[in-house]
Amino acid sequence: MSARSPRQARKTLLAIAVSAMATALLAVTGCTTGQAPAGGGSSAPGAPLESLKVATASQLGTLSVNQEAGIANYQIAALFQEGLLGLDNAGALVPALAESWTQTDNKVWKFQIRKDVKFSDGTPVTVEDILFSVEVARDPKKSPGVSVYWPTNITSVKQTGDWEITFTLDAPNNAFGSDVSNAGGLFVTSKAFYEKAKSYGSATDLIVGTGPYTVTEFDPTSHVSLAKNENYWGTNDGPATVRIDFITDDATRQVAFQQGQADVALGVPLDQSEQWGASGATVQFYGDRSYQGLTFDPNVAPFNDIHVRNAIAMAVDKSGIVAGILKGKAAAATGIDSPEQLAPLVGLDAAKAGVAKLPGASFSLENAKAELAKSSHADGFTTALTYPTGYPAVGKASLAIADSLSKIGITVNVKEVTLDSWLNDLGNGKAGLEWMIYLPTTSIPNEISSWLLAASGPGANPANWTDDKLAAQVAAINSIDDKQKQFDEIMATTSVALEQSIYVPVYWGQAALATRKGVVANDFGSYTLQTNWAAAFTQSA
Amino acid sequence: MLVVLSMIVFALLYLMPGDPARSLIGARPVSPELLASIRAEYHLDDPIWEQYLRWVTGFLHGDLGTSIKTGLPVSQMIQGRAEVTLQLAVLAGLVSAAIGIPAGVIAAHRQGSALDRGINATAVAMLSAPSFALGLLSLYVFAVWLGWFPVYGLGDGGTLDLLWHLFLPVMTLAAGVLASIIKVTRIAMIREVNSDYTGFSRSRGLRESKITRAQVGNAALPIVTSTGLVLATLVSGTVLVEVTFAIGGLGSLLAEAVTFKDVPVVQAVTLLLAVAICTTTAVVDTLVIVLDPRLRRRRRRKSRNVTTLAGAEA
Amino acid sequence: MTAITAPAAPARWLAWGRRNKLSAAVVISMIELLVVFAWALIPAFGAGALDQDILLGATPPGTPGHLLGTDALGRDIWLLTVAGAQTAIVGPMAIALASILLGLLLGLSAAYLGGWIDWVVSRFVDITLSLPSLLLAIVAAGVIGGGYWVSVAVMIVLFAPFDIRLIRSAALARVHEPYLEAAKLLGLGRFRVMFGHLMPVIRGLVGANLFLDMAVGLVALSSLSFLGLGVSPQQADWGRQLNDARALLFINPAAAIAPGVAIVLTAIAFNLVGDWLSERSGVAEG
Repeated sequence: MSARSPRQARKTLLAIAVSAMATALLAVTGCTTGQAPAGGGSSAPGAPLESLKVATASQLGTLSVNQEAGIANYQIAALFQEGLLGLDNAGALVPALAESWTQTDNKVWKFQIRKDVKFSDGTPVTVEDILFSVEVARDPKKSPGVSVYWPTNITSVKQTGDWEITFTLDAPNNAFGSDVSNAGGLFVTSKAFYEKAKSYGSATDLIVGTGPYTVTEFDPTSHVSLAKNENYWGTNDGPATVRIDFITDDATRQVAFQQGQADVALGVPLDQSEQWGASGATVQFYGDRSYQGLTFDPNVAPFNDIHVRNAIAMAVDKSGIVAGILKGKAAAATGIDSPEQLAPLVGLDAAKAGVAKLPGASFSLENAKAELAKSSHADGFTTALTYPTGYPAVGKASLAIADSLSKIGITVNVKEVTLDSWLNDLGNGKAGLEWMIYLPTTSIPNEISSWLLAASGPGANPANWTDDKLAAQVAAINSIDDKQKQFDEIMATTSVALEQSIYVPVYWGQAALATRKGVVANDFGSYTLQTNWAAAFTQSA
Repeated sequence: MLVVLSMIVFALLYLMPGDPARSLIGARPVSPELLASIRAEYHLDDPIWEQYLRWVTGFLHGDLGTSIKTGLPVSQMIQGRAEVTLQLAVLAGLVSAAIGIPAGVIAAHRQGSALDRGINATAVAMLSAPSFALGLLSLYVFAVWLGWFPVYGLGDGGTLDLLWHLFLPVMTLAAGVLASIIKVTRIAMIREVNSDYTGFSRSRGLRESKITRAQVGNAALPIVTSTGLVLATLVSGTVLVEVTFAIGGLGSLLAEAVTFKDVPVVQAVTLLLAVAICTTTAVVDTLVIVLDPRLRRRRRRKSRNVTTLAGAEA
Repeated sequence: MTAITAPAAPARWLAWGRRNKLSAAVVISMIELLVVFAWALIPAFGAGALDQDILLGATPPGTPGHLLGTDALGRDIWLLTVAGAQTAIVGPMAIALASILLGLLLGLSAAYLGGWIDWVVSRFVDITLSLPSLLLAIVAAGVIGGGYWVSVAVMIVLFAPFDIRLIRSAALARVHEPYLEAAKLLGLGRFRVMFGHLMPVIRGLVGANLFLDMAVGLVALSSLSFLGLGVSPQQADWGRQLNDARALLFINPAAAIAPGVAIVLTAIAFNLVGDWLSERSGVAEG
């Protein structure tokens, strides 16, 4: 007779996804042409699997990412729906329904549409279908999930040739390619199908798309089944069928996996990886590009005092949290965008070196105490810190931070709330100290910092922070074409926030997956789940 | 009554923190205009009574509304799930009654014996173990160590296969109820066993089975009352079990919808569960009146209550 | 106690025990409850339970200085379990007392006075029983700010209907007994009859239910904190400990076993003592 919610809220709503607003990938001044080979996935050494069974921690309410844009929705849709562009295993944009594209001044984007592509139901893909899908995606009423990705400054979307679509923006946006990908805001479907469907994305109206797979069965209470799309325009070396079971409870999922009911388990809890790895199974980790850090609202006392913010920054034992609570399966964050997220710009090593040089307080309770003594709250104060249910590591980190802060006289009341109420309170202007948890889907290098550093005042960023000069500098990153210069600017703008202790990065997360004996995940990286990831799993060589 | 319930649920959801429009977007930047237009789509900014009226009007026309989270018709989301939950609850109820009442009767007859103490101890232990712990424990013991039962899903269609898959969840769900029924039955029966008429019947040489039947008949009232009460808790108990064993039923849907503030879904599921609870209660009330001659005097008024209940459900 | 009377004492106690239907299980339960009450009331026992050592992290039982090992934050499992007694005793007691009081007040009134009062009370019970408990808990946590006492209050709202209904139906079965009719004829006031004459006959039920409520209250409160809803994460609590411990099952099984055993034993003790009380009072109610 008690209230028992499960840990249901959990990953389904992981919430956390993608900002579009800024930045770029495409190099070369003025004009860029993309013509990389098709599709994602990776070249697999082992023989392909006949069928692939996946156990995932998430549960989908609908197949439509337009409606429900959780991280799991993106990952599953990556198998059966495409945008104009897609991502490859390294996070670079590659052609999908557009076979090539060009842009001028990051403002006029022309996409050459691939001819003779068919939807999974056998009907041909027309330019009209794509324009219709764009229109649906931009409409917040039809697509509450993805419409936020679309820049508000699009002046026109037009068919400019038999097989060409042109988008015109009124301000440069070098990240626009990501916005029209299936890692961002575009999931193309057949217009005829969409209009006929009673409930698009439901079990009775299985979405018609152009991806390497097609959905054959969907039961929101248990699973989604897919089979190879016979009409797929590219090549698909993956298993003939894929079945993804939604098993939200960690213990149940582990048991199901160990009983051989799944070849692959996603969302392995980091602190339980040893248990999962028993009996011949392999657990592997990959940076999930997520950012976990503290946010201060500089308009809320006592956080309007930089000494208070500095003192807290000095009292956060990042490396202790990573080593102790996360068992080393994460990286202490020194910046906002993770090195994996920045890697497409300058490579992983240079990205790592770059973020390591960012300014930031090192852990020292003595210094923290001295810093607090300089503030107007030398004797300490009491504040609150909430974290969402379903994020136990963030919860433990909160307790560790509260413990450290109690030693310098600051009392932190830690509270656990539902994911939805946490989301709602994000940057509400009342809480002075908050967690920010953000898991990007796109490969826009500053997907996270472009939001956190949009310092044009309350509402523009979760800290409600105002710094007009910085805001202009961040906005200008949108029109930089040189990758190194872009990277340098991202580092420079991030430095400003860290120097002012508006944000205190805590850690960049990792995710883990387990494969049963006889199955391997080839080249599984930070961007693989945005590609045809089913093809990454093969029999072991 | 259902009207009042729906109003209370509506008001509670209204008070609840969180904004479903914000939840749809996630922790991503959003312009105020865009957020406003999503809120407008779901009429989230209308006064609460207008939202309620809109919902009621739809409901009366047989339209349960559209889920905010999935954008799908609520009736479609509920189909199938209701069946699963009903199967779970009915099976658990049957198991509890079928084992609990005889066990209680036997314990009462052998009052003080090792068997009685064994039954009683089992019942107390089952009552005292939180079902979340019980679910986890049975998962590890029966599914992992012994490998006797499948851990998730509902099998592929066959009735036997379904029962096989439902075994652990049903037993977990039934444990608490079963224990309560054993205890209540035992206590009620002890009173009858120790009563004058039992001794008298025995001294007259009546057959033991006949005496037992009379005892059970006399003890039926408290047993039925309490059984009805605990059966009602089965419905709310399904949430945890459904989640632990990854069964997609109404319970897990409700839990998810509540945290998301998905008003139409919460309303529909709550009312459905309330109808189930009311039906159980009404059946129990009627049985009590039938069973207890002392209450027949009050029967007219009582049965009027039952009719109003039935009327409200219709 | 002198040397002469000493040998006789155990025998006397045994006799007293037999007279009062005291079994070994009940005695053990009482001792268990005494220990848990002592833990709950004397903070010194659990002092230092919340001290962290994140670099130490989770360790198995037998780690030097930590008999039962530590949890992921390096907190001592034994001390946490001892300190957790507080939330395990205080809340359930409040729940049981409050819901029994409500049950007596409303249940007796409904049964004895009947009429519209009975109708209103019965509908109130029906409605509360139909409310999704999770919804109530989340609303309470969100609107009032949550915390331990808020979840205790939610539990009272959820438990009271059961007691009301149980007491109502038990009283209903007695309402027409001759002595009550007689009391009424004597011109005693309604409340005097209700609380002075009707209540005592069902006191066995009330006593048993008080302890049963505590047992169920303990289980329900720990379920809530297991879900992260009730108690603050900064407080020692068995339900929360169990939830945290799920991830540690293979590193430190004691982290799950200690609070799990504590919950089950304490709940069993509440149940057994409740049963004993009801049997001793000689009124075995349904």
